[in-house]
Amino acid sequence: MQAIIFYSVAFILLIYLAIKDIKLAKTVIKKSIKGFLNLLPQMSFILILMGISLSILTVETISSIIGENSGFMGYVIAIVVGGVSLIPSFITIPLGATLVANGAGLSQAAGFISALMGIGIVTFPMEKKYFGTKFALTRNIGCLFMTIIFIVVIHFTLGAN
Amino acid sequence: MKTLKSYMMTLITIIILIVMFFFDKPTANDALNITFSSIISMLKVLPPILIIMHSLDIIIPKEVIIKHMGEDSGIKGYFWALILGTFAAGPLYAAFPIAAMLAKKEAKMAYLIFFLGMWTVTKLPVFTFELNFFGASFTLLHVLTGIIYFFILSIVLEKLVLKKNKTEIYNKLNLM
Repeated sequence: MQAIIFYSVAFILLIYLAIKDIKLAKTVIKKSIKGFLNLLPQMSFILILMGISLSILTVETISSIIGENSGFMGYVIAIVVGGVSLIPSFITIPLGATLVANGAGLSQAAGFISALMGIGIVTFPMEKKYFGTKFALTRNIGCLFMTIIFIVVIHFTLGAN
Repeated sequence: MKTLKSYMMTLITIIILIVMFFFDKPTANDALNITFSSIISMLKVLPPILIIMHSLDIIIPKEVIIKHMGEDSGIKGYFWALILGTFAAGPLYAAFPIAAMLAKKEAKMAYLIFFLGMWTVTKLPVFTFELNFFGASFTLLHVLTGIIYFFILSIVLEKLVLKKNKTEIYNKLNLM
């Protein structure tokens, strides 16, 4: 569904540009291909690494490590696993819920979700390519703090349930 | 030679994958399947996003972005960053080309940081899923914490941490 929307919008924009001036559409395609090839080395590494790590870290493994009573280490592991993983968002949330159902604590799951969404260790090379090292580094550290704050918030509000 | 070097890390992961096949075939098969499905989900998002962003780069006049998300846009710029981050879909790496497009049109850095933050919190597909799976209070706490936190972070990073690097960051984004 998402893909259909994206490709349709891209296609409509290309047609619009082609009607205005065919050269514009050609420039867009050329630039997009160049941009894609530019990202491909990092991208291919990221995708294979993800495949390997997710095959080893199953839902049961993760939820047993970040269970309700896993304490401080549970949080650390939730953040690390979330930070190094790259999972589509429509899987992230159900996965977080599954983790809770399998015994993970709510605040640990919150940390896992927040880290998963915001911290990108494996996408770091790609982020660096766009923004440079310092920006990428500070943004990721910024998201680490967001994760910690969110864990604290959930722990003190809904944590008891 | 340069091409080979840039694919070095990919080669290493492929070798690990091959080694896995000798030691634990089922896990290796899983790894391969997951890799393929991630490649598919990447192809669903990244190529059209690149085309859309390069098209918008031509279609949207610089003045429009400067007016709404430029240095002097104030709170309005945050509003647009929130809208852009919310009505988005795809992984965070799909947000990078969008940020690059905005930077080319001289959008203020604080808005870019806030936009990337909102992408991780209020993005609609995530928001609706979160509402379904975790309930209203959890989602509300997540969104509120996120908005407040990333608002502060955007100011801190722009004014303090990345102040000296601004030109360098924008030059880099302009090349993408």
